[in-house]
Amino acid sequence: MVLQSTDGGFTKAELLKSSSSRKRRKKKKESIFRSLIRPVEQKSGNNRHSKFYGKRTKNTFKQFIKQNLKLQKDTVKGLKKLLKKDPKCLDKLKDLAELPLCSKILKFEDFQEINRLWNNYAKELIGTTDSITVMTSKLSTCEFIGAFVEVTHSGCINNIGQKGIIIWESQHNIIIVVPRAGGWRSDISVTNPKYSYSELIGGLRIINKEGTRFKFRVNVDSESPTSTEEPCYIEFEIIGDRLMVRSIDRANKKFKNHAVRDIEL
Amino acid sequence: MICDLNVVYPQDDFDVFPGARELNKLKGCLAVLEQLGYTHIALNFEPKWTSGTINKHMPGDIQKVNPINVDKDFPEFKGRLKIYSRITLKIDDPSQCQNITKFQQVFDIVAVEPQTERALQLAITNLEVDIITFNYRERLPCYLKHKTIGAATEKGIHFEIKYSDILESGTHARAQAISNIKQLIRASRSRGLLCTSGITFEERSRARAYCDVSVLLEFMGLDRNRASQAFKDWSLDVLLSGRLRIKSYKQVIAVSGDGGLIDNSLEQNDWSLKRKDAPTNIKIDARGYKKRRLVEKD
Repeated sequence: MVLQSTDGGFTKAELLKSSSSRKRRKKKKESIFRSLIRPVEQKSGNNRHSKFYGKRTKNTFKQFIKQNLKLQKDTVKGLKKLLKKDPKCLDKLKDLAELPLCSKILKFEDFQEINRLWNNYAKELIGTTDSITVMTSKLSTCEFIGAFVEVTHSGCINNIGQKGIIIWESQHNIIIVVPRAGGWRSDISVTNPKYSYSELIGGLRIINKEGTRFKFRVNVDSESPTSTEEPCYIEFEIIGDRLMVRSIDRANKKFKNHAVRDIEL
Repeated sequence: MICDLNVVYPQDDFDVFPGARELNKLKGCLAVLEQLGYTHIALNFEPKWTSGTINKHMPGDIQKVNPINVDKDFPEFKGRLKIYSRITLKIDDPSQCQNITKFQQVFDIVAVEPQTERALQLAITNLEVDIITFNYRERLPCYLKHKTIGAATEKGIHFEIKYSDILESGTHARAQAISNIKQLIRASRSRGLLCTSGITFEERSRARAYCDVSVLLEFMGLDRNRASQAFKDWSLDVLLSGRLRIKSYKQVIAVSGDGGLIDNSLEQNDWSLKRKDAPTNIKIDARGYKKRRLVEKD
């Protein structure tokens, strides 16, 4: 996700001065996505009137994530209530997003474009090399926002099998957007799988890196140049315990081997 | 998953390869170990030279450094046993250890056998190895202190106990082995040990099931839980750290195979085979990991 740069905070005096205007702004609840569409003129003197004046990017983003998580929680509650009233109301629906209740939740489909961009980026990054060492060292410094990952190992069993597109990576957490009613059950279940409410609505998931392994795929060219275009991929695994750095620091970080007793087989 | 990370490969020279008879006996050995319930086995290549003189004898071509061709020589055990390759280097001259990184790229596990106290210090502080082992039949190079051993355990280096040394029939060697192993258990405070057989292809009858050995270890002062950990958890730790050195970049991002992180089945293990456009080192060749992508329709 691209975040607009803000003016980077304010002093205490400014805060007092602008407190009245901030109150006004609070009433208008605006989605963060609108800022992506509308260009914000920052450089000129009128950035004081900008929606983001006096806010840090970090805080705005945090607020956005919090709002969304709360929304998801409320939606689950609302869905439960709805089903209590009319247990068959979901059977007619093809897609849950059509429900007015779920319309505001982040949709997986909106992020597929960023995933497409990332796939090209990763393919270009790896290039034509065949050496595992070169590939993995390049990937360890690359950006993961936009990658489609699957959680294979986790200390929290609810996280295992979550699949989604990474929208943010912090020091300790990875935030992914999961599709509606998507998950590992559709792969293994013979009968129609039963999903929980939170699985049904999809949306944001915050996944702790500690003790977690993420699997992702990178497309590569086919093995032999003579055969016709055979699309191939290589699967890689992120070992979350060793990646506990911010993505900004990761570019220059020198990784080291450690004792492996914290890594599960 | 019970591991035996030391079955001696019948070769101590880079150029002289084992004959068919020796390989057959080794296969018999592996079959016995399979019967005893072991699942992961490492074949141990011990060059006869110490680190000071090995550079003169080492072949220049990296393809020839690893003599163990698992795919070619042991096709019978595919699917039955997981076979890894290991090298044990004798270190006497601490200044001559630059070539150890070369071995890390071609062997699954790298072990060292320090001959002096300084070599032991160096192996713990500077070298990136998985196992430190000793010749238990003779006197240890130095008195083992808890501080040095503990530093190694903290770093993730494990110490090896070879139970075939205790089964040795020579009385003096056996007494020495028992005292040495007790010293190691005491100095390590029963942590970070792994127990292996250390049998050669002729000593097939020395192979024991893991529960028999753990009784023996209990008698030496290691409690039952840790004795079983020495065969299971800690041995797997060694395998994992060794495998991650090949499969991953500094344990951050790893290539993912089908069977977890310690699996080596997708790599090519036949060093004698040379493909036309193969890179210099087949162990780090990623082509085995390529999978066909299913093209999504409509």
